Amino acid sequence: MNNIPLFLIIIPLFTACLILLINFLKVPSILTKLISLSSIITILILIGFSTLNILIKKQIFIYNLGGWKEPLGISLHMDGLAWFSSLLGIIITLFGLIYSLKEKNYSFKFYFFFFILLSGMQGVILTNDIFNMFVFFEILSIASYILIAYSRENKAIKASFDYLLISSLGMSLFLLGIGFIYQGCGSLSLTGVGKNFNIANGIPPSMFQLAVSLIVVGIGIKAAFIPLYSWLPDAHAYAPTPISAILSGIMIKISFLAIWRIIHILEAINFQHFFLWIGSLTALIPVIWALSQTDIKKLLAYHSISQMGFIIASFGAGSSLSLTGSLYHLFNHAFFKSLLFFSAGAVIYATGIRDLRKLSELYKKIPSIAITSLIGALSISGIPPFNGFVSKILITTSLKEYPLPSFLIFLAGIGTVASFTKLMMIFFNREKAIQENLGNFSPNKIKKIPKALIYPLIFLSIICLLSGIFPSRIAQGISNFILLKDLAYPLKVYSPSNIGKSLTILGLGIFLYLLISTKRGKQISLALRKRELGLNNSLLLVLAGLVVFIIFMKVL
Amino acid sequence: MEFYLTFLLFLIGVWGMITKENLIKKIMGLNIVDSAIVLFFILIGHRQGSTAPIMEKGIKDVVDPLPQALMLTAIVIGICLTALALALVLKIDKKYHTLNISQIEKLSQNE
Amino acid sequence: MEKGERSEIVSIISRKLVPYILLFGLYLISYGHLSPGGGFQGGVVLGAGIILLCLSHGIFLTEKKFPLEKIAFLEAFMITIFILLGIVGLIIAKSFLGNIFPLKKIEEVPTAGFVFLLNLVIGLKVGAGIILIFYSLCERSEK
Repeated sequence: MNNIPLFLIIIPLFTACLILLINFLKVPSILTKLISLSSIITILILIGFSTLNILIKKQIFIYNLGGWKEPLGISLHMDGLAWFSSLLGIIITLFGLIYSLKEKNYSFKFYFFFFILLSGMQGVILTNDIFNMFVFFEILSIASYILIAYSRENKAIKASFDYLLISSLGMSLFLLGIGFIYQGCGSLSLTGVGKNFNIANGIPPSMFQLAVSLIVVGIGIKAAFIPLYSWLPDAHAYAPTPISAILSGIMIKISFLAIWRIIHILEAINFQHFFLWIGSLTALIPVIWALSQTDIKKLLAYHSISQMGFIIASFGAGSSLSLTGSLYHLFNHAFFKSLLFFSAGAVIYATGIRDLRKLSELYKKIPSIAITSLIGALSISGIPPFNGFVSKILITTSLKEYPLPSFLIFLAGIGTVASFTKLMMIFFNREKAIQENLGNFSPNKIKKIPKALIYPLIFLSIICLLSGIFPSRIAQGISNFILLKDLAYPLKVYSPSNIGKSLTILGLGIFLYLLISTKRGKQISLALRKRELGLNNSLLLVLAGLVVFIIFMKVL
Repeated sequence: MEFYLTFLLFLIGVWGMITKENLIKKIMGLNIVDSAIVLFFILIGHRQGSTAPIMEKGIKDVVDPLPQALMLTAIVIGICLTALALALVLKIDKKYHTLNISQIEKLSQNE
Repeated sequence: MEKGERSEIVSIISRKLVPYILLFGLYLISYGHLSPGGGFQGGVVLGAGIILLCLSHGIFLTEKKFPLEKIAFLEAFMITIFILLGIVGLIIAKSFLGNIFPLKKIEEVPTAGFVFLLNLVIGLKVGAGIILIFYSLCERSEK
């Protein structure tokens, strides 16, 4: 049983190598797909096996690599949080794989890097050694750079290069932080670091602050909070659709969970509180850009950042209710954002167009995609009875004590509704509403959507609905089994006041949509679209973010 | 003193990454940052007067081998990243016919 | 000498030098567990030998001797072998990459269990990888 964490990393790695090897034997490509599917299903079964021991018996699976125990060796820990994120990662990856099976452009190289990505993801979740975490982060990111550039379009390659430079700078900062930690306490395992690396044990405060800031900013680039997110919209938008869904659905969350674990282990409570402010700003500011976008996938990518803001803000508040809300929203966002990305990918597949302004009346032509997109949009906007509503109510309830952050999050909610109204207009708009100068789109060109693209959409929609209908059970489950805390709050999610609140946001959002679709609004959108940060400024912002974090640590 | 010098090297690398317009020079900046970190780790493990950690007869005072082992891994990762970045730069050059970042950004906005 | 022509000196010297470089690479791999060196370093030296051939004799001649497909296959094969060895270790020695051979004294063979075997696998994999990186940066991989 204790070998399960090892297998979660080894199986994807071995699958990747096997795919590479059998490619030389000139086997039909169906074998590659069969191997991929069976490997993911094996991992899913392994995680299923461990459920009982981890959740009910509260056992932690520890695997010591090479038989060396901590603090000398590297060990893999699988506790409730790791189980949760591992399971989430595998489910989204499975859907991504099913979605990618029908695509003919994806050769064995795609599947190879796909599994390397999966292996890196599981490694980051499971490892209990901070340098090992760095290595897995690099594996994860190298695979993702290649997958983002996979389509070999101009913008995809540019986005991948930008991401490579920014994220490598971040990883260097992370490594520097590890250096300070090793200098301070001479240990690299997270357990040892937690025991020895704190101010009470004689670590100089400035070193502690510097190390924590470096590590948080280094990983934060992948978790994409303000001001470190400027690489994300391009990278997530121009990646192949299954990869967009995996990057947005899982990868940024795994980076965030790594920050979560490190902050909990270092007991940097003040720092956690700082995330309340970072998170609420991250929720609001990308929404402004999202409102101005005309590219379907780029709009969704901006919303990934914004929803991460909800999760981070809720994490920052730190009470058991808000932590539950944070994890619940993380869970929900993984599902509805991959649902939305898959739907957007299906629209692009069917029409070949990614510009919102050129599409209209798609409801008549691809009704199934229209319905699943609508479910995704309702979920992300927080409309009952879908899952986004539940977790957003948990988050807003837990943030009641902090007026300004909750106001920012309220505004972000309005912006979300407005931009998803804009997105939904491609399905329900009238044809004559399209501007004439953008070129006409003739309805004959629509391709038939294969079933492999539709099944994941249906499953994800059902999950979105189910996790919205049974809110209290899931919330209790997350709180009791994963956070190991009692949820000291009577959950009444579907109360009239909550529903009223969400309907208010809906109304204001539609009003905002009407505002931005006026002529003046469109001018402002155009101006905003041209004001995206370049590579140099993004790199500069990383440094600026680091300085802000260090100053903040000093002040508190 | 040495710590400040490695820090200076780190800053030089970051400065190169941020201010240089040429993509290859940006990658060089990244490599300088990597080297600075390698030096930093080696300095952490170093003690005056100690020798390399190859345990033979008569050797007592050795440097801490762990940071060196870590840095081997970091160097390997650095090589992979540099190779990948150079491959991407080749592709960018093929598509945009320039390596100047501001020109590339202008071209990609107009598409 | 005109531009673009190859120098005889470079060609002959590098041809004579390459076997010794490869031998040195193998030395680094096989003594990795006793002295500085090991799989990765030795592999890089192996790769550097082939890259020297590329630089002195041109990439066409080198690719005839060391075809891209075979090098790529070697890399894929070696990494699979590495993981398989790890799993064998897991089954026999109860830990991933655990030692399956008896341990002996320093002068005897095999000295450090199957560290030598792992170093060899890693070395060949890294050498193949370095050559592949060089080939593809020369844009030969697309043909």
